[in-house]
Amino acid sequence: MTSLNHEIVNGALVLKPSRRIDSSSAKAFEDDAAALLDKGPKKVVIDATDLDYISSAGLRVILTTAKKAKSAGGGLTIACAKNNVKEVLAVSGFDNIFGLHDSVAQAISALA
Amino acid sequence: MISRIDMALANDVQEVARVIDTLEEFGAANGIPAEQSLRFGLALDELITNIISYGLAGRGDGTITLSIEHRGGMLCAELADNGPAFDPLAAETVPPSGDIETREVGGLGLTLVKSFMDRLDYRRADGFNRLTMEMKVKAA
Repeated sequence: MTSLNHEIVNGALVLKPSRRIDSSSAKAFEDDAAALLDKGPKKVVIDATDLDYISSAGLRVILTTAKKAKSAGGGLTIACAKNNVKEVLAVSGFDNIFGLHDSVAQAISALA
Repeated sequence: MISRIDMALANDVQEVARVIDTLEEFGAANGIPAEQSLRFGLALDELITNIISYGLAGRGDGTITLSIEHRGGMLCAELADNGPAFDPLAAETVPPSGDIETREVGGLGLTLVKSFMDRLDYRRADGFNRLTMEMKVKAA
């Protein structure tokens, strides 16, 4: 199960999903992310340090979260993806849409 | 060492987590690098999710079976379901395109499956869709 750790860094919402975002856990991620965004932050960083796996259901909720952030005047980007996750992001073209960064700090700077 | 697993799956998307957990344990017992097990699990996730979300949606008599084998340096599986005939290999997959506003994720699952598996075969027999899949296991 994904337990959605998060923190606010320099005004950006940093979401740190753990283990997997698969078909069975994607909905919980989407709901948690939406509730956290409703509290006001407009910039979102997905810190993928602890994420081993993402399926197309996970990509869908990242896209949904990104659209929500963008409509609020912010944006979303991704940091610290491991190889498996990077590969899925590359096949889907999400690496180009959102950008991949080596650190959360770089990701936050990119959203500035 | 168990080199084959047979599973009967409920018609419920929560089963996907059990399949991936089982595959991780199976992979560890068979000396398969975790990344490779998860890669294979991703393809199963996408295919099982499609079956449950579309083929067997709302069906009380939905039957899904899965067998997984490790043989000759390959991870192999057969996934069977009694939904309407559907060949996922014939389904159109569009190359990903578009920006954040226009982007859709539909069809992406099958694109990932085709990208990650080395061999996929579909047949319809006795009222079941039967998909066999193979992935060469790469060293860590």
